Amino acid sequence: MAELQKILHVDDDDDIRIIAKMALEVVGNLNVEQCSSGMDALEIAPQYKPDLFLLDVMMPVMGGEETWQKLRNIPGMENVPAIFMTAKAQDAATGALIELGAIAVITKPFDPMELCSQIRSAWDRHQNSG
Amino acid sequence: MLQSIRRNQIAIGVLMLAIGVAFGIYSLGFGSVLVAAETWSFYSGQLPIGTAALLGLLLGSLVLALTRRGKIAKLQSLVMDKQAREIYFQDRALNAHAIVSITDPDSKILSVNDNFLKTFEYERDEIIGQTHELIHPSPYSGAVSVFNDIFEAVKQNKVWSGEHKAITKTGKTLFMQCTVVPLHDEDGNHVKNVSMRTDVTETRLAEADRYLTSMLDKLQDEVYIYNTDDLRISYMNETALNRCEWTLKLARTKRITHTASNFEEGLFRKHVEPLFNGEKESVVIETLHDKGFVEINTRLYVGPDDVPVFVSVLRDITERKEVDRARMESVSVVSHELRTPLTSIKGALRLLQSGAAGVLEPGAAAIVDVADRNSERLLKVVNDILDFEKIRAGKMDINKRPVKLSDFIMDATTMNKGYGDEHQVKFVATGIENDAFVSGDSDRLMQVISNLMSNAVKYSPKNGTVVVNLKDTGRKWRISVSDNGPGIPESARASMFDSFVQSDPVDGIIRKGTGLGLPIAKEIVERHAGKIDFESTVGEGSTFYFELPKIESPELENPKDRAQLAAE
Repeated sequence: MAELQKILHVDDDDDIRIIAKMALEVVGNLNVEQCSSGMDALEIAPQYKPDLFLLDVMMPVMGGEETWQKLRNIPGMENVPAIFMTAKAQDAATGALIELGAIAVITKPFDPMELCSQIRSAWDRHQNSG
Repeated sequence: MLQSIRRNQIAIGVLMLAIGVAFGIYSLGFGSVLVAAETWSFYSGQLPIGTAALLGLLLGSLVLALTRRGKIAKLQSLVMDKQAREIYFQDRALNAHAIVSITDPDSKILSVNDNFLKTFEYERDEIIGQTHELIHPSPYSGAVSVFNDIFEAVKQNKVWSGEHKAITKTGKTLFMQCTVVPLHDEDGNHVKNVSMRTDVTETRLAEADRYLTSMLDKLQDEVYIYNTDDLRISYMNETALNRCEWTLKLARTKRITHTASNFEEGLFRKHVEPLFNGEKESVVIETLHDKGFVEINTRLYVGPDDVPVFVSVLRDITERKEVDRARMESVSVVSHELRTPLTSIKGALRLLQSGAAGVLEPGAAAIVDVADRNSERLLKVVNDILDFEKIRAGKMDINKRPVKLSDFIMDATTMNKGYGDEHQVKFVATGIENDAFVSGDSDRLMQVISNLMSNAVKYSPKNGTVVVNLKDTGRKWRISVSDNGPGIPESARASMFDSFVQSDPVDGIIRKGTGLGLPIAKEIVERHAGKIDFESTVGEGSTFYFELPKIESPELENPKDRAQLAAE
């Protein structure tokens, strides 16, 4: 079973990026690369080669869903799983993201002390289901 | 000479007799001929012919007078008979047709016909001696009663005629066409009143029906009436006919399934099921129709021929949907704008608390706790308002999956332990059974139990215990949360689940909260076909509970389900 090491985090909010970075690196001991937009993510992803995408849903210009669809079109990125983070608490939207293939949807505000274990358990579940 | 005189006498006598006979025949017919003939044979030998003739004439006249009188009497009696018969028949006809009552001048009822008794549902001895006030409904305040109106008219020797409402002994309302005639004796004294009424209720109802039907036709909503068995249409209002481009005649050859291209009879039958077992009086569905969003409200009625019918009212809600959508959109944006900074604030505080950003001095840690608690509170308010808006817009989604209640209650006590610790209140779970399952949205149900648990904590005394109990009530599982708080007075029961209401506490201490927790919990429980309620004794404590329908322990064949359950 592949181990989760590298996460590409995309969020347009600077402060949330700071909190998430600390939660994943300091608390979760993961390797994190961050971008403030979907366009940046498309540039960085092929070089960084993350194990998982952590994407904010509501971003200007290119939203989380669209960013993921474009990321999946990059050769070698087709099977990289995605977890979405959203501050929009609409149940239907969450369901739709799972339908699209997201392995988890984490609602904001998230608990930085729990973020890593939430991500890891979704990762493990995904690895087990093949 | 004598001979000639005698011959003359005979001639005159014969002539007289002939005239008499003629009269006799005229007046008496065959009988007087016989009398005349006998008179003639009797007297012809002894009396002089002139005398006999005179006698004949006299007799004839007598017979004539006698028979004329007899004839007049006979004629008179015939006419009288006819009149009596006519009156009798008129009376019978009137009695059969009308409701007749006769009163004295003070309106005391002297006699009534059978129709009166039948119509107003009284026995004869119940009504005799009463006044007509009995059948007149009490007038609206300020209005002159019809009873008084009639009373005044007949007092002034006027005939009263008009329509009035009447009530029967059992309280049925009828419409009466009525004429009241005052009767006077030869000296002009008012002695009686005769009232004749006709029941025109049917006519009035038919008129009202026509009126209602024409109003139904002009309604903006579409109205359909159709048979429950074969769904055959018996009525569609104009609005409905116009949309389908049918005539009423054509519509009566169609079934309700023909009124929409996406009508699914199986789904419809399932939808109306609660109408038959008395669970609901009406069922409502929102659906995308051929021409946009519609809301369809269906009821079950028993028609005039004891035939059960569905009545569906279809309302175009495209505009309302648009408003709802725009509203939800703005709520969603506001929610996003509030949650995003809250994410950073809460995240930062949690990291500070945990020491991930460096260990804090005890004084600083206490201040960070205050900030964390209040950011949590702010988040709760935002979430409650958002949920409340979702409920109002009908947008709260309930995603049901099997929920194992033992795990659910354990998770709830774990989740709320922090809040309990803060208030020095502990949770105890009792009655836990392993084989207890319901079908529900575990996140939403967690919201319900957390609300009840945090309320219980809020109202518990220091070092108190909140008991979470699971109980089998037959077809449902009851989850209750009990505290030893001040209790809730009965007067607060009615508004307990109303929005933005926080009842005045018996102990005078105001607790923090939005006043939305219980109404949201109620909505969630009801969306699970369950019920929520409470029992309380002032000074002893309160027990809030919710009940959810049982399901069999689920076979988790579907790995997706298993993954979901594991995630929960």
